[in-house]
Amino acid sequence: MINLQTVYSRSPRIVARDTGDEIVLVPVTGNIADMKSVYTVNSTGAFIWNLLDGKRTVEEIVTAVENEFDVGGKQALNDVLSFLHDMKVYLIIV
Amino acid sequence: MTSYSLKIADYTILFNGMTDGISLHPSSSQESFISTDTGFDLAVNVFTGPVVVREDATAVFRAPYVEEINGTMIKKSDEFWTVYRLGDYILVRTSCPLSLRCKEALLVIRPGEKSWDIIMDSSTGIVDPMSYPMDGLILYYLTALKGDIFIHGSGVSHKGKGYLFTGRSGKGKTTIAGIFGEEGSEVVHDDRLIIRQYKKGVFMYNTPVYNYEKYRKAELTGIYVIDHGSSNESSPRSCSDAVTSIMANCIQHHWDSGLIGNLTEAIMKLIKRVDVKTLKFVPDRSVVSFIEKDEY
Repeated sequence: MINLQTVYSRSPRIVARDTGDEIVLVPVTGNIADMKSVYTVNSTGAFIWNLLDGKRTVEEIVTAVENEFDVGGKQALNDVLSFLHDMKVYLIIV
Repeated sequence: MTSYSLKIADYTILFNGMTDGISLHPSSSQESFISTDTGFDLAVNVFTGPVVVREDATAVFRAPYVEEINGTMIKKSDEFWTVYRLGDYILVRTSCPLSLRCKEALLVIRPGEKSWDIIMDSSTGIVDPMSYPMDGLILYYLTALKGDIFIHGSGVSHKGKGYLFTGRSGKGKTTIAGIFGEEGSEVVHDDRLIIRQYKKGVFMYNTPVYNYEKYRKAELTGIYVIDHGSSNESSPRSCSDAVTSIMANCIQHHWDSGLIGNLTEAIMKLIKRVDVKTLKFVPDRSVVSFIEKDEY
């Protein structure tokens, strides 16, 4: 369960590179079995990724998404929670 | 001999025997890569003696010994080679399973410097500093630190164009290279290639990593991520998808964020210059004419 007051950071075990509209995330694993794990996030995900600075709360990120993409509060909340859920599963954020 | 140079992917690598009585014997697979260049991009000092890794070195990456048999990867042992970090140095300690003269070896990499060391545990003093897997390790770290791409793929030079076919094991890299070879194209290599990017163009090179090879290079004009299909079809890949699919097929050790960043940036630069497409192909000569007509 993600709390709106939680503050997340990008994992230091991830290398991120911006391709323009999207971001490529590559885990630093030290394990040969994980070498195929490369993730890409779309433009909304890239926007959220850049806000995961270890200072902003989830609620502040939802508000920023709402303003940036001109979407309703419910849609912004769903987008952010869905993105953060995936990022947590793959240990891309801490 | 006590000294020789290899020219691989336009890098001149000079090997110098440093221990008294040492004799360097490059394998026959390296013959056509031996260079008379007097300068060098990398000098490797070769010593014989016991292989010891200092206790304060930190193991950062361990590779098992895996053999590919009929397209299936089979793990033969948990311990093959291990990468250590010691200050700014990278150390790679490896067993040498195919060498009769050397049981173990240690590669000492000094990033940013043009001089590295190899210590080989050989009782005879006769050594091949590029014996498996040291060949791949030297080339991997040389190219990774320089921002090049070392990739599993086959490359062909066909009617003035250079195509790279990449994909996972069993997807047809060797098959498609063989088909182009039968049509008279030059096969640069059918398994692994080094890609270097210059102002004048992007080039792919073979390496002497497996069997005897002539030195080959070709300008790269198109990249296909391949798979078998019931007909020949191609479709362009999006930017992020192209990065992902190429990276998944690159030779990489994945433990250092700097090296991963170098590779990611090199791939992003590459796909801005060379289009990447998906190719499903039928394993016969029809794929050659299909690619000739496929617009890049």
